[in-house]
Amino acid sequence: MTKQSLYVAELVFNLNRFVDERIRSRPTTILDRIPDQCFIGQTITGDYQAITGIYAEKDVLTTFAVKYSKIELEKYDSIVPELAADFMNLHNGLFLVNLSDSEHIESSLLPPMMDPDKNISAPDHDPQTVYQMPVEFDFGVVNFILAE
Amino acid sequence: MGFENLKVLICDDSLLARKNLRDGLKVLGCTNITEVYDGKAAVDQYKGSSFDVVFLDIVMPVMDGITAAREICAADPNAYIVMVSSVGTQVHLREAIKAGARDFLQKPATPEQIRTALEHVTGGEDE
Repeated sequence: MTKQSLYVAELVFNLNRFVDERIRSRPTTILDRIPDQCFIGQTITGDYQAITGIYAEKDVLTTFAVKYSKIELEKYDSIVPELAADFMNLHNGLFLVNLSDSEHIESSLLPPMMDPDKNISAPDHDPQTVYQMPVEFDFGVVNFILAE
Repeated sequence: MGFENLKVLICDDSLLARKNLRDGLKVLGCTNITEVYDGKAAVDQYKGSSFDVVFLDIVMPVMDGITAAREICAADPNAYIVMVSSVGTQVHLREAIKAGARDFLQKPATPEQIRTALEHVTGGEDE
């Protein structure tokens, strides 16, 4: 299994476990670069390096954050990116535990990024392949990014 | 010592993680809870006023939890630190123990895991 396949499998499992059981994974696409609108993410460092991200329309991301956190939100505000980043941190951490246990690959995480004025990037990591993994919920599509 | 008398410090940059841990601790009877959101603030807070138990995240801005645990334990070798992290690999676990942590909870920590950690702090007494 490739790291990307492992990442998707873990992602689907964690979305089911922590957000919503009714999801449909759309086909993964390869992009030229990380989309400009993707400003919430987290860098994986160590033996396996990657940049991960999440983006969606504001109302979709708000519903995603509400379902994940169980915190009632009337509309999109600054707490929404924070909650989406929290999911990424949780999911990425569990992915790294799986990677360590199954592949003996040791990596770590940097604190989440969520600056609305710039898209996600890592100063010392120039990604070769940018995977976009769209996941369909009843309330819309959330895109996940894995840039290796 | 019952849980209600414990002086607890929570250190996590995630507001949701802080909320979940705080809620879990309150259900168990804890009322004296202080929250900070990076490792340096935890060290400063601990040095200013010691705590019975510190729940520390690992991945945080400014100062990570491993470094914070090391500094807290250098200031107080009897500090009781529980690491709470999503990255519960064997490597991180070893680093945490080496830094002085007494316990390690994989996120998301369940109420039962929090209770068990507190029982370890109090030596098994919860009333």
